[in-house]
Amino acid sequence: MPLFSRKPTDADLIAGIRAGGSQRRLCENKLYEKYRYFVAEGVRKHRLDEEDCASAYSDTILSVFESITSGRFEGRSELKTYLYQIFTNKCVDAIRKKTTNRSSVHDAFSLDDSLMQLPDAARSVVQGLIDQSDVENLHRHLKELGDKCRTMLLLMGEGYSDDEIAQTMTYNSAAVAKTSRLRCLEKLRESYRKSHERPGNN
Amino acid sequence: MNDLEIIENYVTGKLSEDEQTRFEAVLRTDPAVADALAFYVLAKHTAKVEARAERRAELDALRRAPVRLQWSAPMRWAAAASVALLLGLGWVFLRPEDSTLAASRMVDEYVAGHFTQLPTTMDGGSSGSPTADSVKLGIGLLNSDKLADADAVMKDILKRQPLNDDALKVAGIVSLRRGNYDNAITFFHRLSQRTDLYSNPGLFYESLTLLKRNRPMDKEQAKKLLEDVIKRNLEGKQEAEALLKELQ
Repeated sequence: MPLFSRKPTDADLIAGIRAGGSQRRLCENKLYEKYRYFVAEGVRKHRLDEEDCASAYSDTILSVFESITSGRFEGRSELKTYLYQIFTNKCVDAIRKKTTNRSSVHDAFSLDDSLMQLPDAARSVVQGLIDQSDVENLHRHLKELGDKCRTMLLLMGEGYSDDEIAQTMTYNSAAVAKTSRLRCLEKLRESYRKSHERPGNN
Repeated sequence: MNDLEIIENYVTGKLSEDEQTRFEAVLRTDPAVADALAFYVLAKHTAKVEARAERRAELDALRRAPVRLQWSAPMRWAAAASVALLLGLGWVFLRPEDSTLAASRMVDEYVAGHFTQLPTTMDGGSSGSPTADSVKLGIGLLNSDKLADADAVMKDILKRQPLNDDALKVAGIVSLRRGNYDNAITFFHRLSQRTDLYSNPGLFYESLTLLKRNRPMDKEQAKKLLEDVIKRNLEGKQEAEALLKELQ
């Protein structure tokens, strides 16, 4: 980091996000703040209103967080360039959405993305089951799961490792965090199943 | 190991090749395992979507928060110095006026009003005497702002007549206007010692000069002299009262 400057570089932020734990969220927020001036640029350049641009920027940043943590962003281009390219695409999507009333191809990931991560043999087996599933109902059960379990599963959803979950939620070890997390998952499955068994209940 | 843990190990690629082959075989034949895998994928996806929505709300809150300027260290130092400078200037220009400064300003006003143009009627002796002519010459020089020449003329008179009241008065005024306060105080003090005069402004003028000089004890000394002027009803009494009021 340069002398006399506390402003973190992109490399600092990427390293902080990849390091995980408590550093991750802090660095993510700093990255968000560092390039939030893109919103004003988007308003000027794409003639979108500020809310639409801010929404595009938030989507961009969330995608970039994911790219960094998953290793998809390999650092072959500058982070700013990478971010700006995604942001421009999101803005174009927002314009298209406004003018044609069509949803964006760059909208938040779909369930298909999750399925694509499965081995081929499994994908064909569960595809039909997932298509028939009641996603809205599962969202509701997740919301009603209780704060601790919900937080834990959301951290899992964000890609936190059991070690990071243990640190964040002050468990003694990653093994204890993993056991608790799987219990929460089991709890969610039970409540989801029960709601399907009860007639007249979603 | 429960079924969800095995499924997680399968999805995350943590099973060995053999374990994976066996798991996939069971998956094809056991609907319960397929159902569990479908639930796992769906639950993880749901958690991801929920987490993303929450994170997005957090980021939106961050956007609505006031912008915190990220200044580099030199910028912060420059800002701190600017604030200090502004505070300093504010103190200089906006602070409640110090009584000594106010009194000094009153003295300036008095000097400007009374000591820039002196009447030439005062003289150091009977009209037409060499001393009287010299005093008139000195006053003329003072009124023409030729202070150094006026000073020389007055000192010359005082060499010859050290107690000449008009010469002491004009010499003191010339020194005061030239900023030579020590000399002015000496001349006015000598004037004030004259007890034979009908009207003697020496003490009052000395106090004015002390206020202008403004050395550590000058203010207190000036107050004593002003009180004396009032008490003895000397020339400058009215002005002395005003000044004392300011100095309280």
